[in-house]
Amino acid sequence: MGSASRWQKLFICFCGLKLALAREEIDKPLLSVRNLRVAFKTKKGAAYAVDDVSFDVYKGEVFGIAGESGSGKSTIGLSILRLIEEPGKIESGQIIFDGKNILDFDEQQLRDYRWRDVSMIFQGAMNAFNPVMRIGEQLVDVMLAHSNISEDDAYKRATELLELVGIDKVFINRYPFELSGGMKQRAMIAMSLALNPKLLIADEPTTSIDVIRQVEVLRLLKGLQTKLGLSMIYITHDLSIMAAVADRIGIMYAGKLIEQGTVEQIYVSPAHPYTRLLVESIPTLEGTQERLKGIPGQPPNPLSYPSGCRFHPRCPYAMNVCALRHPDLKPVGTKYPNEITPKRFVPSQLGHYAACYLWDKMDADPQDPKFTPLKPLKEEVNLG
Amino acid sequence: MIASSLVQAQNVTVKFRARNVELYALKQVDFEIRKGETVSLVGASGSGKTTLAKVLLGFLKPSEGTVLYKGKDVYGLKGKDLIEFRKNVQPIFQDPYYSLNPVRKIRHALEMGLFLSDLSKQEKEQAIRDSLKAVGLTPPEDFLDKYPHQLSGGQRQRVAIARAFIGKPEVIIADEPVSMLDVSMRAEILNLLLDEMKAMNTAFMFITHDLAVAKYVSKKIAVINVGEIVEMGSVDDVLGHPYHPYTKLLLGSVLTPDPNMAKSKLDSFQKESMLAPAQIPGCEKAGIKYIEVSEGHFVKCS
Repeated sequence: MGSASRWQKLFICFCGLKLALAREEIDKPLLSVRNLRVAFKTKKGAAYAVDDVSFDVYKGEVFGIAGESGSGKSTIGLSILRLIEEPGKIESGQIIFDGKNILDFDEQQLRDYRWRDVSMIFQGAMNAFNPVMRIGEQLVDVMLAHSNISEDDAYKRATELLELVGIDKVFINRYPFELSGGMKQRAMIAMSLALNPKLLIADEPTTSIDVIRQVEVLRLLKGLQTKLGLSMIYITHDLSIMAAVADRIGIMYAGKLIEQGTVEQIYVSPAHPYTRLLVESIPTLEGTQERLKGIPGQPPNPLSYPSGCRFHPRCPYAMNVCALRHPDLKPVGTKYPNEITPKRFVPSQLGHYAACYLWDKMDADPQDPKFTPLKPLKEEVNLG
Repeated sequence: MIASSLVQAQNVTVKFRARNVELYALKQVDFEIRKGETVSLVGASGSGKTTLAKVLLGFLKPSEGTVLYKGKDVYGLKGKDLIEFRKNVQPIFQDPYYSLNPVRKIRHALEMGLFLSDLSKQEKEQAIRDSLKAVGLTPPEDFLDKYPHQLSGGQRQRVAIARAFIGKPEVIIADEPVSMLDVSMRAEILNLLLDEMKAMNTAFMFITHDLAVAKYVSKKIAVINVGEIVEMGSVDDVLGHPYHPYTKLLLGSVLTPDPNMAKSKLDSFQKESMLAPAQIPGCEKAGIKYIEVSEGHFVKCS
């Protein structure tokens, strides 16, 4: 008995250690973006497409970046692969992948990092193939460029990849124009998985294809992500697609990350007025034909962002303080400000962050002039 | 009932010839827009939605079949009748970046909308200002002398809407009017269209690929697939009790901004089983093309 219990203890100890290690593995983010700032130089001055954005992506999860056109979501994707080109520049911040800051990488390190560690499905993937090269050649090309694989092995791998995404291997010798739009999309996904990346960035991979094919591609992508245990960053403006694929979401507005949380938190109890209005402005099949509440105005020009919170000219709850300084991203509590009380709460508010002064107002003196409603200036309300 | 029909397509076929193959953009389509009615035409890309709009607007003469405006053949209209038709059937296009003349001011775009009206100069000026106010471009003086490139996409689409409504038409045919706009502005533009339509009692045909948008704007819906209307009826009937497999497939592929619903929809999507031919009661008889499953709800057989 004595020895058995000793073995038991040892076993438990071993398991505990293993669990602790596993925990460590899970808790350490695969990718950390810290205070990222990307500027594009123009004749009229610098446009900050991404301004002080930080987030983490963990192993095996799908992190969604949602935002309207011009909000900076694609720029984040390109920055992670260091594909920002003149006149754009990553001005400051860190992008840490597997413990290394990729902003310090030299050309050779970048070559090893791109496609092997992180790959990308680009926007408009249907037209991303070279029209005068066979599909197989292009898949092989990527593998030869970023790894030491032999050409024969690369062809074998290309066949496997096409089968993985449900394309018959005869298409390896076809040209892009011989494939349908949906097949090109699949081939693009196959290409992105060629070197078993740890992180896949998908930038609006389903725009410009119709709703039925869209669902098929999403199913394929989500299935592969689960099967291969991939981490993924999914970038889209479509909140319905986002709801279907993402585990956690960051909401971008005018270059700033204004809210971050799990899908449930974002959709069921949004903590930023913009997120809430955006979710409520989408017509649904399930909903009644009640009048939708739109968001007045239009997203700002990146060359002249409004002062303070960039959403304040369109925000129905804007206060004096909102025009002064951009609010910081802060943890969201369980008690919501009256203005944005959700219909339903998500039980745990852990990991939910929002950048909005309404949260500060709750603890503040109600007489504080900082928190009195801002009178909308006529010039500033620009109907879009 | 027939008397209230404004624009009507009868047995319309549109063929395009590509090399030696004949492609059918529309196959024997019957469609009508009645007075004061809103109808959505829903289909995937390439289904013939825009072709049908062009045919109804008098822009594209069908290979076979006729298009009637108040009982007269649209492609045979001349003189006063043609002016009457053009005045009363107005389009709104998808892309506000291409539908406004880039070298002409906003004032010109709206004046052209009144080209066929017999208002006096002052009345026209007043109508132009009122129409800008109605679409939320206030004060009108700020916009009248601007060029399209000085406006945002949403503002341009508002101008396009103002232009379509300015001559108080009987029918508006809008081809995906919000698909090029940012998400946060779509609801506003849809509401604007609905308000204008109600205020002027305009009949409205709304072309979209999004069933949820169709449900929001219209009472009646027609689903089109590869040039043929497969199901047509009230929104509640078609979306609540769909019969045709293609309608079911479309419904199955519409995602929702709700994580649980969207994820379960994605998991349960099965194209093959959804497209399995359904037994539509009444279709057994040979030679039947459409069957009326309930009042006003038509389904294509086979």
